Amino acid sequence: MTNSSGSENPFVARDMPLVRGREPFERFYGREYRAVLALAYVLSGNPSLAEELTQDAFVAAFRKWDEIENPEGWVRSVMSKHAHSWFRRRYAEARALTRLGTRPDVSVDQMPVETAHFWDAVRRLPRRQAQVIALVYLEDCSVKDAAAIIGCSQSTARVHLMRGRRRLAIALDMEEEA
Amino acid sequence: MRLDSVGRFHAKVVRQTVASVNPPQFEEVEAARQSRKLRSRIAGTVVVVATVVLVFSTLASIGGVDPVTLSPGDGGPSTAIVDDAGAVGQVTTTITAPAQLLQEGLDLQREILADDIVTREELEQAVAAMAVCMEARGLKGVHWSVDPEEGGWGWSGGYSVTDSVSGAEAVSTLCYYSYVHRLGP
Repeated sequence: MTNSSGSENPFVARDMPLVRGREPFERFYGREYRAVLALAYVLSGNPSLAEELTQDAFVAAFRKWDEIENPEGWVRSVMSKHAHSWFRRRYAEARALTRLGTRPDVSVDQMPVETAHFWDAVRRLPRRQAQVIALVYLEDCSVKDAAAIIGCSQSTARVHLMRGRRRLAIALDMEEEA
Repeated sequence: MRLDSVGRFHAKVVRQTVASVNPPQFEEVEAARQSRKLRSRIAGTVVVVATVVLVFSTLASIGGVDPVTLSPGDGGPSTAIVDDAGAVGQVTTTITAPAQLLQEGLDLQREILADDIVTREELEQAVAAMAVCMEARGLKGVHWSVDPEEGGWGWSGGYSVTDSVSGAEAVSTLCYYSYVHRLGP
């Protein structure tokens, strides 16, 4: 997500618009692709699958472009659901494998081992907790924005975040921050 | 070490990892998806049929319901080319989704999820029963397995069945109603 405050972090979500003008889809796609890809990567753990999930979500957004009011949140919501949907995930995985057979290069590099280990632990959390943790850490999402993306109330998202951090801290043998 | 500091550090690493990625031309992505659209719809029919048969046979195996007493739907034979996910060619079936199985699928899901756990044995039995039922009704050519390394199109899946969340997801994949939701964006 773009950050109008000029922060160096291009993924910051705090300015997520709730109502938007008719921005050309191509501009939205070019601006958001990497951020959604990063989110897909941490939620799936697989660079090739992450590309498939990301592209699927953008194609879905393109088809509903005139209907959706918050495409930044919508595309993340769709991608997150697909990353955790058994059928969608298997389907995207199979397509990614097929694509690998015909296109040798995968554009996303593997994460370093320590980083992969951290996100593995996140993915082992219950689904909603993993999604909130990923949105908060990766995109600096507020609880309000994370709740909108995963489709729950702010208080529920706050509980998911709290429990997720607690479980993650235990799993990784770390201290929770105050 | 502090969790939040570590989390934000690894988030930054991920952002750096994808920073150099150039988004593919959207037109190409869209065109590729469009070319699959028809095949996916046809294949989706197979998913519905397969899932209904699974519910059908699982009901039979769990509840003692005689599969023969449940009527198939009104549709005629359908044929699908299942080639989108590395699967196995042409499959044919002569049944469609009986409407009453919608509610039965929901009931089954509720029943199995009552303890939040699906054992691997339960899952294997359900898939095996489904496969037999599927073959008996002419839906052939799909390899069914609960193991991700073995699965063909449709039913492979890696479940940690001792975990309640994974168990819930496993059961969700057994039920028609859930599938309907999962097929849509």
